[in-house]
Amino acid sequence: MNAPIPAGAMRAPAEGRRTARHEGFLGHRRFFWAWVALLATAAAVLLYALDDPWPRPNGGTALGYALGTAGALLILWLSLLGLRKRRYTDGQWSLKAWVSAHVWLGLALGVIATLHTGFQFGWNVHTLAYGLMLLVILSGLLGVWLYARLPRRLSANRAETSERAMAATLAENDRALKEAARLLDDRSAALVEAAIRGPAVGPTLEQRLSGRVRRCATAAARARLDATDPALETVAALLGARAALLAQMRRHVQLKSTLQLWLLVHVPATVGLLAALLAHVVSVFFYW
Amino acid sequence: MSPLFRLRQISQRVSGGAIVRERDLGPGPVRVGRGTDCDVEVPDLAVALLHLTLSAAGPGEVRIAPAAGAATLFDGRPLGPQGVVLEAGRACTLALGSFRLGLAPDPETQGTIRLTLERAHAEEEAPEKVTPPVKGRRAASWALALAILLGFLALPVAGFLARPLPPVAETARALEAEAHYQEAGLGPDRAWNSGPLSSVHGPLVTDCKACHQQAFTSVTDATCRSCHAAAHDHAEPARLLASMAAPPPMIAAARAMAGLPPGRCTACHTEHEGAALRNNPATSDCAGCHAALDSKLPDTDLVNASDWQRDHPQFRPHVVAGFDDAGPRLLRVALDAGPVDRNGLVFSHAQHLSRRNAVARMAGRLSAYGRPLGCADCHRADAAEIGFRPIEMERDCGACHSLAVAGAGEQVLDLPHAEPEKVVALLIALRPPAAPRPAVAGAPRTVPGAGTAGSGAVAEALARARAPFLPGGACHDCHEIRAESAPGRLDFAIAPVHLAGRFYARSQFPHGRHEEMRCSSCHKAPSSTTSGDLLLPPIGTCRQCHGNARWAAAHPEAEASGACATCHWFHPDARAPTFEALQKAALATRARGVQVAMR
Repeated sequence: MNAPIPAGAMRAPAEGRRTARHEGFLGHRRFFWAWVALLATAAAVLLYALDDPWPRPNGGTALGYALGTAGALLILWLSLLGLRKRRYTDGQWSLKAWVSAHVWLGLALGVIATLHTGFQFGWNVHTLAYGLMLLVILSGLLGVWLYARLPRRLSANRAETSERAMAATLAENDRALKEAARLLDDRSAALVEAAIRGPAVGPTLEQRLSGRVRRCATAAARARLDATDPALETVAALLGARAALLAQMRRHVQLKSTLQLWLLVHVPATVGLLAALLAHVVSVFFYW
Repeated sequence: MSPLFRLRQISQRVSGGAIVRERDLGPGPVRVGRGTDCDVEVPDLAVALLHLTLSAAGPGEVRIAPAAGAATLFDGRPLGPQGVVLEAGRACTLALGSFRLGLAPDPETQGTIRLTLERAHAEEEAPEKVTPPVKGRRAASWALALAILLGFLALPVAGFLARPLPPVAETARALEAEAHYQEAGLGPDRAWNSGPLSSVHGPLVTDCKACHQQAFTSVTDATCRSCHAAAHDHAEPARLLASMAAPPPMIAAARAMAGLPPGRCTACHTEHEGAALRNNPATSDCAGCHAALDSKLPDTDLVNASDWQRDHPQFRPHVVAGFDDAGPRLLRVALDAGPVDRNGLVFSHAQHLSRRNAVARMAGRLSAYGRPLGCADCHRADAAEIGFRPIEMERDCGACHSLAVAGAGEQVLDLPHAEPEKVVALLIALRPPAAPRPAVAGAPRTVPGAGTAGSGAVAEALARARAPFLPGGACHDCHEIRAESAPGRLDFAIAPVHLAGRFYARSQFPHGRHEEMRCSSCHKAPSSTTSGDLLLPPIGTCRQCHGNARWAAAHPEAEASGACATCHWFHPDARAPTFEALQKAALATRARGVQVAMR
């Protein structure tokens, strides 16, 4: 039977393929939030250019108050991502949409708040709040840059496995290693024991970020075990496997820690900014 | 009796619970280690193949001998290489790697040592996560936020609440107040300072409460006036408010809610904007009221003005229309209407500024000038170099228009200016010879009384006294003279004179700031032949430079703004007295002469 095929039926698979394609948070909904941010920025710049405040532009003119209110509301909303990211929903306000808006509106905030200052800076709580805001935005940009580069490397390193599988493989390898090393002489057994006991990844953040572990016991055991001893053949092979696994894990931990590192600045600076913003707003109206 | 050893091995089930296996080991020695040949096998890589040996040492005693280098804890203490002997009846625990080996007399069988082997801790499971979290975010966040809230919010507020109000009102400018600000030192609220104070308010930076007296309340006019008690209003406050352009309702409502009344001091006098006090409102602020002032204040005598170049009335100077008993009658006339200043003087600028006439030649001969006269020879700048000192006859005219007469002998008398009665009395009293005596050598001119002496002492004296008031006489040169009511009565009177120090009440022209220009480029004095000519330039002359973009482009080094505040100011203060006050002051200085003469 050659019934005509409805048009929709032809399109359905194509649409399925399209939605399956990965779309980063920056380009979400055809850069919808980028356009919103650009428009907001352009409007702020235009108003600032047209405004002729006396005696000079500052945060206390009508436009200054307007830009300040917009900036403060933006800051409050942007910092809500910390709460929002802990819940999962999808659709228009999916986490991806939220992050997209977070990044683009965060950049617009930089312009809006700068115009709010009227380029008046000093050693005071007002400029402190502005400085913290810049720190948050810049660390956020670093985060965007890292997220554009590292996930690809992370998945290339991980290949077909997962973080949990890596740990399980290591545990399995260690069990075999223990079994194989049971009858070794005391010195060799101690080396193997130390290798197994030694930290898989760096005990300090610095070592995790470098991807190396100082005085790695596995490397030491491989170096010091007598490789020519036929009795050690199995152990040496297991240690070699262990070293390869550790290298992968350390690379993995290095990339994941780097991905978190910018948050070490971004998050405390955000909380500090909220405190400074409160002090800024209260002080301005306290001494009106 | 040597003890027998019995092993009790306990292992944990994965599902929970323990499996206990017991085995007799005989009289020993018992080998303990990881090796399969050991009597007690300890499956832990941390344990040596042969870790230690237990053997009977005496009745009920056990010798514990470790293998070389095998680390063992004996009741929690490291076991030395020489080992130890466990006394009869005692118990102990040996730690080997992750295993514990307990030694104790078996309570069921006399003479037996029970060895209990169990793993001290379960084998560690592989962790689910490999990546440890990057810690410190939370701690750093709390620390930063609390430090900021404490240093930049709590402390300043506490400092404000703890501080008493500064000296106010009359005492504010007194020395005690100065000391208050000098001793105060910066408080914790210094971090709230949004920008440097203007230089005049600089010392107040040590005490924010000097102006910010109430929390969450904008600086009030009352606070400003506690020091600036003498500040004038721009206009009567009710009229000022009536003339103001109403802001959009939303902004008006917001201002009302925030306690920001329109027309308050701080609307224009913003602070924390830098050392220079920026108190000149923008032109747009002026135009807000003055663009259509007549529609809001129908009875105003001010002409609408919204823009200097395009919408500003022609200048309207105050000119003397005449004199009455109270003094000069001033009339405000636009320059377009060709006003005449009937100031009472007989004077020709053209004659005095000529380069080659008799005046010029005379000035050239006088050491005081040495050349033809210029403007500045009579018009002398005042101290502020804004306007000019009032013309004083003796100083500004006297070098040529001498009032000196020869007295008795070598004595030279100066006739008193502006006092005709005294002049007559003085000249009558002179005894002959009252020979003419030029005031300045080489300047022969008619002097009072010369050539008019009649015969006889009385006639001579009358002629002498009358001479200055007659054509050719010293007074007659410059003044309109009312003749004597009857011959011989000598009651000459001088027509009143009023030379305006300033013509404009609402602006003042800073001549000093225009010193690079020639006087004649604005004032057409060289061609003026009567004193009635008003030599004020019309608005078009000013507009050639001020507010002229083309001129500004050609003269980037100069500043000729078209803003209102270039010429006008908001508060009519000491720099800009009301015109009435100005006139009173002027009349007071002249009262002793002209007005007396008129009576």
